[in-house]
Amino acid sequence: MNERAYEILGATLEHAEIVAITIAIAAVIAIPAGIALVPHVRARRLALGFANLAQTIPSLALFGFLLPLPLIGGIGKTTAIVALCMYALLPLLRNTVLGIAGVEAAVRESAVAMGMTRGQILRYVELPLAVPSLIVGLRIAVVTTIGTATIAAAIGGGGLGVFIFRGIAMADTSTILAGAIPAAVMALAADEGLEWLERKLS
Amino acid sequence: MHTVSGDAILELRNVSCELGGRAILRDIDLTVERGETLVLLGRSGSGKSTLLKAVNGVVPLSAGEIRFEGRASAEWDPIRLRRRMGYVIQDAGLFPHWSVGANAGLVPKLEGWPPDKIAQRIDDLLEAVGLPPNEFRDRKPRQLSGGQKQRVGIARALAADPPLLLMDEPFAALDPITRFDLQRQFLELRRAVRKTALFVTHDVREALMLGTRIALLRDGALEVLLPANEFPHSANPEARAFLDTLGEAEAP
Repeated sequence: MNERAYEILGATLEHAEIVAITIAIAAVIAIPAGIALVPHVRARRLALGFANLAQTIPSLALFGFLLPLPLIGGIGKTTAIVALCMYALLPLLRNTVLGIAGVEAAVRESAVAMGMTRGQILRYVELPLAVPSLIVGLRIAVVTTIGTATIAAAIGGGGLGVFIFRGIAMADTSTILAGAIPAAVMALAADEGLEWLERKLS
Repeated sequence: MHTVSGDAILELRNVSCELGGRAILRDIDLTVERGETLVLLGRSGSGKSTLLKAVNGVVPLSAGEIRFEGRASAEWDPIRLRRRMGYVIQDAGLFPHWSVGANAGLVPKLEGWPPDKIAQRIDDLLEAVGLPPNEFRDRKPRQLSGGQKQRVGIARALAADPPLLLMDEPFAALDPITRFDLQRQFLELRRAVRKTALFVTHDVREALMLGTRIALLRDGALEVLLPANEFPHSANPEARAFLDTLGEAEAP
């Protein structure tokens, strides 16, 4: 039994690691992209459309599509993280764009008129005012990634999904729960934590 | 303070402006002298706000030239140019996440003043616009009334002591009593700091009260340019249309 507990703990940490790497990569791509896209209405629509489309691909199918690809494909964590990133991009991209585009016109106008540079407007005005929206995007991305990452086990990604797939194969509910409960707790904790951060910053 | 008459701070020569193929400003010649308040009066869409934006380097000219402090605006770095002009807009446009004090001290901060000098300046400014610093310095804009926000907007515009103030219908959204209060304060402030101002309004009463000269715009062209005390005697139809809004009792 002790061995089982260690196994669950290890899988939980691995799960958290997959989620953390996914969110970090997605944020590094989506937040600067969102900032760059705000002034370009057509490019913005295109990017959000693409991210939306990626969201509609069933996750199991997306893992399958990625498997045969060179570099990003194959069995293992890399493929899992690439696929998870594609899902995490949309909420982050959309909420970055919404947060920055949501800055009041009068605020932006006066910032320009007072002689702020583009960089100063971004740093002192747009980004701070976009923070609440950004955190909402982060919450959605983290919570969905924690859930979807369980499917990563299907392509050898590891994590808590390993128990779930094993439990399904063995028709053993307690094994399924050994994966499902820690994943649910992790999602709830992340959601609460980010909600607290959101309240604290706004 | 040097307010020598005949000393132009701003010159517009044959200024035209087109946006999306539509002429917004047509061949405008105008000079603003140091110390005066030149009011740009006109209906909505007459081009008066665009003129202010052109002076501030936000809207490009399609023809003509604007000279500020003797230099063509094309020779100015737009950021430097804007920091030498205080700008007040109708909705104040205060940064909602900054305190009143931080908002008022924006330009000194951008200009890299030492913090204690900025703090001193903020208190002086808030005092000057009628907001006791100890009470208002740390408030957030959402805790202010419309009139108080606009006072902070004026303090912010004055902060780095710019030689020219651009005011785009700053009091238009206020209730009549608050508006009158701020108009009087503006006159008082002008006496105290001898600022030059280019002031946009669609309210002829405000133009007559605050302007030393009035420039009447119509469809992007300059129709009338007169000292404020001569404006009521203008025979120009557009000027008459504005003066008629004063009502029988007040009409000259």
